Amino acid sequence: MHKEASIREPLILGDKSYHDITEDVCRPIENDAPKAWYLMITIAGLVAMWGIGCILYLIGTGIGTWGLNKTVGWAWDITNFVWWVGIGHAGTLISAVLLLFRQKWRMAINRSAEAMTIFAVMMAAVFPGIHMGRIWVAYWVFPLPNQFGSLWVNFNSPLLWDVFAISTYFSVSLVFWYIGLIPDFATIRDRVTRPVAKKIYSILSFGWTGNAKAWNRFEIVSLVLAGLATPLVFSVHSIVSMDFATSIVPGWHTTIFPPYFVSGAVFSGFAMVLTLLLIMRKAMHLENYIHVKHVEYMNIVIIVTGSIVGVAYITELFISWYSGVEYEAYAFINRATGPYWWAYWSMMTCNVISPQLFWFKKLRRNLAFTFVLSLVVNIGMWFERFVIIVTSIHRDYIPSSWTMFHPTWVDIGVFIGTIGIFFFLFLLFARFFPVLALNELKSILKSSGENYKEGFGYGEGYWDKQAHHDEIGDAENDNNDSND
Amino acid sequence: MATNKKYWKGFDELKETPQFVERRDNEFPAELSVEEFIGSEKSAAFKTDRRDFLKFLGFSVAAASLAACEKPVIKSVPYVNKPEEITPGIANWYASTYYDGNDYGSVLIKTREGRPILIKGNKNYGINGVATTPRIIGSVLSLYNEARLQEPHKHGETGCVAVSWSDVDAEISTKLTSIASKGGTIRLVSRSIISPSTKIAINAFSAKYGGNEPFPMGPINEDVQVLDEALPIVDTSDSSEEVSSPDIKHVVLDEVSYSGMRQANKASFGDDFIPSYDFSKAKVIVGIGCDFLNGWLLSTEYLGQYGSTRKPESGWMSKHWQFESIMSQTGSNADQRVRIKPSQEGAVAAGILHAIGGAGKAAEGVLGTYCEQVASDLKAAGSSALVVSGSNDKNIQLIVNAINNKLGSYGETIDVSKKVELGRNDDAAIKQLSDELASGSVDAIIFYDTNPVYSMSNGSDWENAIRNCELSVSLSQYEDETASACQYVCPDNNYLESWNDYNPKTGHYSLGQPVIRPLYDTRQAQESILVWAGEATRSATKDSTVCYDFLKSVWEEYGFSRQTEYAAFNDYWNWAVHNGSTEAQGMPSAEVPVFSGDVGVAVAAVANMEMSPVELIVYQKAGIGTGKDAANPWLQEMPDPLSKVSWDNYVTMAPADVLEMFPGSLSEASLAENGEEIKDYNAWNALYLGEDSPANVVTVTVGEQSVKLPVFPMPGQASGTIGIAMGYGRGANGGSTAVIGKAAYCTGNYGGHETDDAGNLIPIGKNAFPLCGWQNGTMTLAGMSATIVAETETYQLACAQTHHTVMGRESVVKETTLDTYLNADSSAYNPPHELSMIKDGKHQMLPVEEADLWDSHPVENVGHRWGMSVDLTSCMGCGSCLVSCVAENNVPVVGKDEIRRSRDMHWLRIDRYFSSVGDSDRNAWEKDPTKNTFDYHQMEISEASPSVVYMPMMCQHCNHAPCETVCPVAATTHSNEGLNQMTYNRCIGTRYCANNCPYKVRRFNWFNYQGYKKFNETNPAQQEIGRMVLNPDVVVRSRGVMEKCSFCVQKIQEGKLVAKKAGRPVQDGDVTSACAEACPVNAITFGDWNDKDSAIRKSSESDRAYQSLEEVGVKPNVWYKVKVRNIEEQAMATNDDHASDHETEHTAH
Repeated sequence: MHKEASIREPLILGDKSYHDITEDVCRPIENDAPKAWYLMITIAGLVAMWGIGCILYLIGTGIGTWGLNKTVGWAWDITNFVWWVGIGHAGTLISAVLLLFRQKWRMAINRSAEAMTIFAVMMAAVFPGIHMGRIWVAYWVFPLPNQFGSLWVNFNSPLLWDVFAISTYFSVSLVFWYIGLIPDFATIRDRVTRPVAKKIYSILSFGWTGNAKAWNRFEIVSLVLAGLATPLVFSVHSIVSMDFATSIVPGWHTTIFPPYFVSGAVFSGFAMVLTLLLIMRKAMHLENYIHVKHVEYMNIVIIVTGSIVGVAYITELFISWYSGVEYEAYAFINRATGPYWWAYWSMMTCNVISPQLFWFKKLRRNLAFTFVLSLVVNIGMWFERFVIIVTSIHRDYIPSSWTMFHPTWVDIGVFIGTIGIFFFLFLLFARFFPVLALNELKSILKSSGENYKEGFGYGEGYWDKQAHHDEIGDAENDNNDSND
Repeated sequence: MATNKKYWKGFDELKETPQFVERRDNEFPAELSVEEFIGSEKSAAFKTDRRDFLKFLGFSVAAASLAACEKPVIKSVPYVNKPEEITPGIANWYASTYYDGNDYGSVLIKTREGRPILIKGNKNYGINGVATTPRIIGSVLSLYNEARLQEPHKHGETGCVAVSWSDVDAEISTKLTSIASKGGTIRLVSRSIISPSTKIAINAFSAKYGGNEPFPMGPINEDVQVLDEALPIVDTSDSSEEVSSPDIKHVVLDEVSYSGMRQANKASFGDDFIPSYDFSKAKVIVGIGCDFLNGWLLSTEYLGQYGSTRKPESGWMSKHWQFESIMSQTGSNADQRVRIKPSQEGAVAAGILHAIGGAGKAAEGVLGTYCEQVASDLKAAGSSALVVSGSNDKNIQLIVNAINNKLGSYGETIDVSKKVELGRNDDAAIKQLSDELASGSVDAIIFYDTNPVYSMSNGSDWENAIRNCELSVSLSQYEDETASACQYVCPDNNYLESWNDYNPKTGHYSLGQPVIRPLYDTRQAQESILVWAGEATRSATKDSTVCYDFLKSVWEEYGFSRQTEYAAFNDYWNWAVHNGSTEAQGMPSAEVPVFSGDVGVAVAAVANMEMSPVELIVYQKAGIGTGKDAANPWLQEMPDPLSKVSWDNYVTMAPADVLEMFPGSLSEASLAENGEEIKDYNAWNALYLGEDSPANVVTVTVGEQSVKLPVFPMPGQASGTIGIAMGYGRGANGGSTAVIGKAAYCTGNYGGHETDDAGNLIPIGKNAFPLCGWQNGTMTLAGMSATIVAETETYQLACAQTHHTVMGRESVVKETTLDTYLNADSSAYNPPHELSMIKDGKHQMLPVEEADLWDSHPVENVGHRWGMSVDLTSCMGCGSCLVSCVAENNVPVVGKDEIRRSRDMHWLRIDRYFSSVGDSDRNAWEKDPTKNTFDYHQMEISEASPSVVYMPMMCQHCNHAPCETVCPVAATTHSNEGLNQMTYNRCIGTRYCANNCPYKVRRFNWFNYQGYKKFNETNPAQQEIGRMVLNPDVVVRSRGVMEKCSFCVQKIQEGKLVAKKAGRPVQDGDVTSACAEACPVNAITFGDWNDKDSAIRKSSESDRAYQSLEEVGVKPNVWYKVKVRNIEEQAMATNDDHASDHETEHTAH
């Protein structure tokens, strides 16, 4: 048992037993959903359908339904892609990197963060697909055998690396997430009484028995996957950044991009995690598991990554001047003072200035403020990608071809639509999946639980002696709970 | 026949190897015996149960439905009997001639399988050489306009009905006879006719109905005199009958009148002629409101001549001064350009005359200084000078004649013995006809290739009068404005379906031959005239030989008899048709007549010219010209060389005037502070016309007439003047009366035509002719006093280029002065780009090619390496290359809305840069960044009187192409001949290549242009007939793929095959690109760079050659050559005539 100083703020508040955790997590799945859930999923579903309609119109008619032009060949499509991929960064970082670093506070947030990752990467993957002129031959980006023999994909192209990076990241994240879900599904399987649900959960739990050997293998697989996923956290966004960094477009051609994009991704990913969790903890009554301390930890990550991003912005500006390259210099002057100055300064304000407010402890522990700021960061990070993509190419080398980009209703519709699909999926997740890694959470109850630390009148160390505390309760209520 | 030969399939069989024997014997192995298989117990046990039946049923239904989903089969039918001259896949070229009353050119027409698909200049024969205009090149598409009339029509009380040719002929002849017999008035109105055979036909027509006034055959020269004598003039004077003889007249009516010029020459030399100009001999050229490179007289000829004086390699360049109001194409090429109002043209001419010591009148103020400068240049050039004026004012032309006379240009740069036959408007006759029509005294009127209802300032009066005539006939190809008012429309053939001859100037004759069987049941106008004259009978089929026979007889009589080279007429005829043109032999060289004009009166008259606060100029745009081909989508889509606007006309105004009218975000105070120089960034916003920045709208009123048009702020426009392009607003009331083609009308953003409240189609742009008027008895297009009123509404213009300056990027465009070029080392004007690199352990400045990440493509000195060079000094931005590229490469037409969204598909575009107000600041800043400041926003603002650079930009075929490395599927690759290739089939459309292209020349197929409804009205490939113009050698690209300039790879292959068949290596000239072929001034050179003797190799090694954006390191295969201007260094720095502008301002108010 890992020991933790009692002066450390506990990670699980209240007088929670193992059984209480099971109850708290399973309650929303087993009970009828509240009306608010139905309302929200209806709205999300409608928005998703609108988005799908826009995508179908786009595919049916042509990329010209977007506002792109001869100069600006990518705009909202790739902006959205990079934005979603960035958001999809937090989950795996939390579950893999923090696992390796034995950060226990991750236990409360990793499940939903990973779910968010999966859904965000799915949304991200939509854009490289639909932005193609001929999506029906999209499979040509895979190195498939074909009747031309030597006709092969171009391994020089960062877009190809993108395909590999995103698909690898998605599959590893999905497996990692699912492996973590198996014991929790088994818990639900053992609790639900409705036959259909029981059948489904028993399929989902892969016949988990919960014996010591299974747990042992579970731990090993988690560790191996964490080891696999950790480099992916860094590779995915590095490679996404190479879509730009390997080009010759002033403003894209920057060696700073890989680390800058990764930290930006973590930055935006944590912001999205905060946005989602701050709502979820209220809606699903998980205030005891996700509380101010968790939020504070995440806010600290936001300060750090936000500052890295800020340094990167300033480095870019400095290098553009220092390089002495006319086009490079102009690209950054144009960003800050050209026709898209508002996008640049939105980005600067949202991403560099606003996170610095978290240096104030009061603010970073203020949940309402954090929520607002998480939205601000998400907006800022969208603008960052827009600024990088559009303001670089809309005025590059040949002034005769300089243009502006104006989004059409299809551009907007597809973006809003992916947000709808994302929330639709996330709401389904929140309703039918265990939103907290309940079995993992139990492992820290006795080191970081408030009741443990407080001793509840029995003094510190009481619960060590009373190891049967949980068994008493569980034996009465839930004999089938094989995981305890 | 029996044979003992044994045949064997391989050595195995020959040698009967064991393996072979075994395989042979096992061909039908026993273990797979069919009987055994069918008869086996197991198969007997098979049975088809209900489920299997359903499976089979389901499969069959699904398979049948899938089979039904097949795409419709488009059959191509091969020739049953192959025509002798046609080999599928091989193009046939025919020499012919284009003439539409405004443009003239000897051309070569490329046909594939009997379809004309491309037009280019005839470089070997004819007066224009390779030079044509975008309008001539684009005219091939007009042949396939679906709106062309397909049979004769009669407009009766029951509406428009189709009638047969025989009925039409009978009715028209009867009516003409009855009108003639009662002594009525018959008028034949046509464009300037330069066809000798047509003149004879018209005279025969006139004679038939008793006309006693033969066709004015033009200048008295030997050739035509013969024609004159030969004409069967019917003498009706001694008719004893009481019936008065009919009044038959032929009136010439062109859109642009040169009447004033002819009158001035009559006053100067006693003959109303227009002489030949030879710009190639001119060391100093002064144009006064004269767009001689675009649409003025024989501009196709002048283009080539002018271009030959713009080659600094020859050691000299012409010095070109231009005084003008609008920024014309000619003016944009001038070395020194001075902005004046049209009403000042006379003062400038008189001022120059005075300054060279003639009896002129000194110009006042700054204008006087300019006149002095011009005069000193002119005097230095002496007889090698040429002054031309585009004015239709007799007095101005007279003064210009006096200047040229004083300089001694007659006999040098001006050849009076070769008289230009174009521009034969007699404005007085037109005026008279107009009055006759108004009074209702015209009984019969026939229109041949002229459209006065559209092009006359009082067109609506004409329309009403025509409707009141007893007989009105139009020979138009279209149901145009005039035709729809006539009783009969007897559609003429397109010129590509016709036989014709032309005499553009004395001694030069050319032929037009049909290159396709008439598409419709139309009849050549000459045939109609001959039939009505009773000289011929219409053949039953459309394969009529009437015109052919007639033309041959004319040429036999007048041409063949006057030459000595050929003994047999057929040889002579074949030779003439093959070449397309002939020069008459033994032309006497006329002596320069004595100048005898009364200059004093003229100077006094121009001195009294009134200046109006706002003066209007109606000008020709490069694409649309006079509007004959307004329904031609290629020409509509071609961006105007200066404004880069397509699909519209607009009011051009000086930017300062626009700001004054529409202050926008500019405060009054800062306007006053900045004067007319717009140095305010916000002001620039008010002038910026982009996708979502619509243009302001004004109403322009001249007299009773007014039009509402958007405003284009045009740098270089004289303050207090406005310009409107003619040729727009064609086919008014489209759909209900006139029909001239789908592309002539406004389309909606999602396809379909826009309609007005009455349901009529709305023509593109507005007709400017009603604003034109009469001045001193001649029709004038410039100087009309106008009023402009700002409207609150806005209008979307489609600009293909929304940014107008080069931002001081010297590696994009390099410029120098002639003096620097001739006297300084190339490092002074074309410095090599060096990068700081570490070599041998220390920092060094090394040439760009030293820095290289990649292995080189093995293109140097291995096989071919195709390259191109573009001379920015010669390039005049005429746009011929662009239209030729469109025709050659099936470049899709995308329509106004797409151009507005910056999605033009042109593989070759012509970038146009104005010098900017920040240029001097930037130069100073570069010299000393600590002491000077400059602001990039000022770099974005064009100077009020800018210098202009045209830069044709196409795929640079980089040897280290950035597009190639980023394509995920390797759809764009490098050929071993240095070409950057695009494999459309493989492209998945990520557009990364376009983003990564520093030149931004890649074009994405945003839609299915060949099928999507948005392009129904504009894209010719969507029309059954229009599709015939497509070049079968070039694939039509599908939706979602990237395309770009291929260096005309199909022409490269063709050229290589030619050389291969001839058994020799590819030589210079075997391979050209469409743009290089079309360039009137040979600014574009194309060829094999690996051929050390090739023109491209030499051009690329010239001192002026540089590669655009060299420091990016993409190693292009295209070289540009530094733009050389024939001006002083000082003038280059400022190149500004602000002073004159202020002057204008003061005199105006």
